Amino acid sequence: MRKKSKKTRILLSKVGVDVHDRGLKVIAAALRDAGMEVIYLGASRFQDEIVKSAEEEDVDAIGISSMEGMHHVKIPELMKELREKKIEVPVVCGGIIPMNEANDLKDKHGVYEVFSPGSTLKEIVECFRKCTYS
Amino acid sequence: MKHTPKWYGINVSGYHIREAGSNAIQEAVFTLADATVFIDETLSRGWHIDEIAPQISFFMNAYNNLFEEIAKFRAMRRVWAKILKERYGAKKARSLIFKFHTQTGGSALTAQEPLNNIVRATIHSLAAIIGGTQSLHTDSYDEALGLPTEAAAKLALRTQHIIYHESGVPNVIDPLGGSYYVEWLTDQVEEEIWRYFDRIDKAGGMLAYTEAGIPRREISQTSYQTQLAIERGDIPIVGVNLFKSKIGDFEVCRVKLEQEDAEIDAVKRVKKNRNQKAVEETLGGFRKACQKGVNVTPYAIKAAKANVTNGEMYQVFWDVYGEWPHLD
Repeated sequence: MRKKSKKTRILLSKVGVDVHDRGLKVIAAALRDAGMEVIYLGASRFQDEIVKSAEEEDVDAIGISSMEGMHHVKIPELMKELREKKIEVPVVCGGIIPMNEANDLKDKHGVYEVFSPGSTLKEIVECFRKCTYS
Repeated sequence: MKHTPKWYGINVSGYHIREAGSNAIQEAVFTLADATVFIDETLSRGWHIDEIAPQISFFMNAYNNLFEEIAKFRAMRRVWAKILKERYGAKKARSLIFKFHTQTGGSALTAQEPLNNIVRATIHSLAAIIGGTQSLHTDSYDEALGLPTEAAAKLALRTQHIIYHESGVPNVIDPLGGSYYVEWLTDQVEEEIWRYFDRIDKAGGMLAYTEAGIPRREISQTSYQTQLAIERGDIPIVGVNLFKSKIGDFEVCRVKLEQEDAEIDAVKRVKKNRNQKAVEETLGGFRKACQKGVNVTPYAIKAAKANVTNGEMYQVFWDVYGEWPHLD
């Protein structure tokens, strides 16, 4: 568990060929305003880049945005790689992810939460607080 | 310009700027300022302004506020003509024409009650047509849920057909010209565009402004402020913060995963059956052209004729020019 002296560190990234980073940037700003530290990887990242960064930056949680319709492939792959590397931090996802597939990501692949369009920053910040015990 | 005189050599995009979260003024000014960078570069290669200006077109967004969007298009037309005439000394009438394609605002559409998006896209389309667009893309109502289903794509097309054939709207050029409100608003938007332009000029022009990362930062700030305003309820969105509704089950388009393998196989097949020597030669020529900073199009055409793939050419772009950093 996180040391008390350290700010909560959140890694934010997109996965796959996806440059729609408007929402992710807004969330980065909201998390910063809520006192958290954001490691921003940005658009079009490979799963191994995210895993490497999570490891090196010693983050408390990971936020993944997906708008390109490949979440049902890319996110399970990412979860598998994280497990293999024994990185046991909560992963919160958001973007254009249909409801039934959101449930699959949570139930079958261990994603902590999936936010759909129209979610508020308050809900998202609260979720990161809760999952990182901060 | 020499070989394809009727081809629009560049389509300067404001659509992505708006979708990234800018407001109408930023969309207008960054797009026009971007165009000046392309013009400056082309002039430096020995072209005359009246040779290149007629072949520049634009790609704009049409968003929620009907009159503001119409005023934006009208103001851009004025500003563009003045830039060409006063800044670049263009003489041909065709050089002064602001020609633009419009796509309706994708990020304005909601996942809640998606059928409401048909109404939004209709309003966006009207803004574009009344604003004088040359061509139009109407977004599908399921934009916020996934790729369009066939039914949604067809309905987007029919939205245009109904406006075009039934409403009479496209029969008049600038139908709101002379309306006291729209003329006033156009003046306001134009004034704001010039004020922003001055700021960019004072910072050393759009290239310096972009290299300093300022437009991205300004767009991100606007987009964050917009989101906060939506959450306060200051910007009403039906189904999201007004007459709230949950996202229901909805049929979405799913591309089959096997499709990916089929595409990869097709590329592999092409690569296996092409003349490898011609590939290396033309790709090498393309790389040299990129490194020299000359017109790369003839080299790209040669490479394409030798079955060099898009991906291979993009890789050269990446190698030579690098990638704009995502972090800021």
